[in-house]
Amino acid sequence: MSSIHFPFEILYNILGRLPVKEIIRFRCVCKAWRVLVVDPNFISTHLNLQTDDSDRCLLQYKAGRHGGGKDFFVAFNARNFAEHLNLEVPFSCETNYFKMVGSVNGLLCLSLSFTLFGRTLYLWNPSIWKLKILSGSCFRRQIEKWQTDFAVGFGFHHRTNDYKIVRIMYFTEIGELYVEREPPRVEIFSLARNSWRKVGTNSGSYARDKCSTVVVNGCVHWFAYRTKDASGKFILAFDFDSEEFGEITLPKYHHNGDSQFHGHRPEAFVAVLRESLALIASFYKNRLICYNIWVMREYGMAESWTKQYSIVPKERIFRCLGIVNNRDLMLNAGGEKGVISYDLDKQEYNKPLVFDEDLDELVTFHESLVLYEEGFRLTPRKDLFVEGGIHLGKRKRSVFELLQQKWL
Amino acid sequence: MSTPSSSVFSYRVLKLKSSDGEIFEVKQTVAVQSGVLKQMMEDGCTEGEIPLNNVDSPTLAKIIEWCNKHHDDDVEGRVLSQEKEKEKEKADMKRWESEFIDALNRDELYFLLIGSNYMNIKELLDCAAQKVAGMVKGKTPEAIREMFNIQSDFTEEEEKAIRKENQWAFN
Repeated sequence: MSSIHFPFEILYNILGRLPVKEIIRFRCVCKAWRVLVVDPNFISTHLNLQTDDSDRCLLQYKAGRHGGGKDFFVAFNARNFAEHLNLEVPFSCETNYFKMVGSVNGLLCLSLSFTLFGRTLYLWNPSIWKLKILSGSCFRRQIEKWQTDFAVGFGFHHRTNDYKIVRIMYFTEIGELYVEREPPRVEIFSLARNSWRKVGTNSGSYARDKCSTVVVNGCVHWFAYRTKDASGKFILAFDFDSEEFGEITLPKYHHNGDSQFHGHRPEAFVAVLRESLALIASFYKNRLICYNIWVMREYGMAESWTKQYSIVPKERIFRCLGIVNNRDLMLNAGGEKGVISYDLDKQEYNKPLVFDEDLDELVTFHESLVLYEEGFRLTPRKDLFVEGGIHLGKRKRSVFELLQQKWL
Repeated sequence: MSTPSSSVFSYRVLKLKSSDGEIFEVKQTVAVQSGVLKQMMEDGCTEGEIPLNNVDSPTLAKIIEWCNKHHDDDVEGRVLSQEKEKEKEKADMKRWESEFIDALNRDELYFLLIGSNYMNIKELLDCAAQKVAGMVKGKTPEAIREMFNIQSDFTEEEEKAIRKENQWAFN
């Protein structure tokens, strides 16, 4: 055939539609194609060209809890549950299990679980086998005086095209409900700068949510309590741009349903729905757990909170897993009933994913090239989504273990 | 076409001149699908022949066929009584688009990509890019070089190193 040279924008448009595995393989076509994976413009083109069909979610579950169990993930399509693939976490940590902080643009942020939550953080891109371990901190934990616990927020900062993590360190006394003895310390991690930086303190509140990826308007949000008044609830916001905290008033979300049901109390959590801040509030009606979804139509304006949906499931729901893909409410009906998704646009239920395991978190997920140049290159044994996992090389393993121990 | 002025407008035509000198007449209302022609119309510089130096006559004919189809079957513009009908029209259009693209040979497809990029016709460009992406998928790097007529500029060692670095992608 004749020789045709495509302008770069056409090449981006074609290759940006491919799965990451193909893009990585085509690095050895020529020098110009090799550097595609590290070109920020190509990485964002690739993210933007991911179609609705490739919108997946990732469900974390634990298997073999009673004998050195492990975390696994299952990736599937939120609407048809057609294809689902298993993925084992290919690295380990001292708490054995990981706590999922969140997922942004194909990048997962995990942390040590249980009482060690928040200390070491892991940025992991499962699609390209890359792992970055964030074990440092700007602050001393003052273990001689206090116990510490953390609230973490993870998000993408559009203006600087950067992934950021904000971490609040609370000081508390062992076995006590949180009382502010010392102002909590706040630090922020920037992937572009590859470092943590102090941003001061944040007094007067305590984040109930230990982790959040609810990013709207450049701010990450946690459900929080005031320390002076235990009944004072609000949404704590951290602005990645100004690096300041803000407060958002909650809507009057309490529903006049049955006040208690089988010992469950109504609860509320923050979420993102169609790029707006939302609140999912549960209530009980006719012995069923139901959900109201409130949407803040104009960001920051408390009077713009609107109750947009009232969802009365046909069966008993154990837990709401949140909103994924900006529109699918995911519900765990438990055991054989599995995971149900409710499409908020079409207002219809999709057939469940039957998955009789110990379910943890559920996040939006799609493949991406983020983190290609960073961190450890993990070596898979077989393919990305296989049971069995992978091994680190010997030299890498020792560095890896060293990094993990640093903050114990 | 209720008023004389709108009817005059919709029958105004642009004269597009392909790289090999052929003239194509296109209604303004069809030509607005091209970002470049739309901008020229807004700037009022569409008098006479508009030279399209990057687009040859077979490609331009294909591009105009696409634009005519998408103009005539303007799904958004028409009032359809039922949601279902709208869905059906969309599905029909999708079928037409894939038949249109599938009928092209490789060279025609490449020239169409370059032409639609040059004229800034986003939907056509995306459709053609999707087609090529489908053709590329699953191919070996060697097959890709042949397909795009690319010469490898790596030494043997360099290529080996890349393959080793990303072994998992080659399995």
